[in-house]
Amino acid sequence: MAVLAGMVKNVLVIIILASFLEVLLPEGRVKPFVRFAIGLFIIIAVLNPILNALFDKREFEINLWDYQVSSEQEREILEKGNRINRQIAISTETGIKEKMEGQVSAVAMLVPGVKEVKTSATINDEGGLNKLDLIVRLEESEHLQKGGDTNVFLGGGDATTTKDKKQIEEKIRGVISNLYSFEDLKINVRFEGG
Amino acid sequence: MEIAQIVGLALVTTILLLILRQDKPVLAVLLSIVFSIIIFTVMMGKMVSILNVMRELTHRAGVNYFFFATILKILGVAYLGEFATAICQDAGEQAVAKKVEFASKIIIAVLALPIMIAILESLMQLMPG
Repeated sequence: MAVLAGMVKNVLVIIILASFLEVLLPEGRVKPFVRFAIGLFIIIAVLNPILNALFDKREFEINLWDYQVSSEQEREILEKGNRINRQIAISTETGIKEKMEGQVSAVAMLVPGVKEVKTSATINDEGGLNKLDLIVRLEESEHLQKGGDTNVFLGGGDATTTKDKKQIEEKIRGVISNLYSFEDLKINVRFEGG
Repeated sequence: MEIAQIVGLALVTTILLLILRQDKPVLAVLLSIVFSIIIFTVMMGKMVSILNVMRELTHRAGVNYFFFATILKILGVAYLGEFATAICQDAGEQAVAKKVEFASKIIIAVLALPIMIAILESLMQLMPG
């Protein structure tokens, strides 16, 4: 009964709408064409709820022009879309970050004198690289392997090491910048143990 | 009172058109076009409120907005076609007016096609086989 009442109500609204549209019709030779289209509109508007009531299956076969979403559903869909978008962005960023860190570490290890490199990349909101922090562990120098005590007492050892470190740092920066074409990127190189 | 303004403007335009049509018919056509555009622009604001109410009604009746939007497009095409036809007839170009009329009829028929297809599909569903 409620369904029938709803359908009658809808038909009434459709009739009012159609009458109003008829009033809006322009005078002229195009009028019969527009009246025909309005007639079609009335038929489909009346026929659709009847078919929906008769065939339950029809509800699952949604045509593009049959698809209606309420503002609440629309908000929900948009929220879901945004959530998925964020998840995709986070997973992509993490993947890219890890790969980039691994690559930079591998490239930096090619510089002579470098034993191990730990890289930490900072990615900005747009997914671009903001800065690179490299922690470098140097290979033990030959003179240290042979007898580091000489360096300590000579006092010149520290200066040589600092110079070497500076050279290695520049080389690492140069290799990474050239390979990835990072011109303005901030690359911080720190040596393990100071 | 907007209607008073419109009537005033229409009277002034009519008098000007009467004067111009004898000496400068081209200017008369231009004036007629400008008047049409002004009336159309002024009425657009009013049309929006009518359309909003109709949209709300359609939503409440559970009628598909796609069909209603199509009908509105058809109405728009019909009005524009009428305006253009009237302007062309004023300028004495009956042939051009006929062509505009023809084009608007075809466009209306094309716009009505999806509704017709939807009805046919529904009928096929009602009467299978």
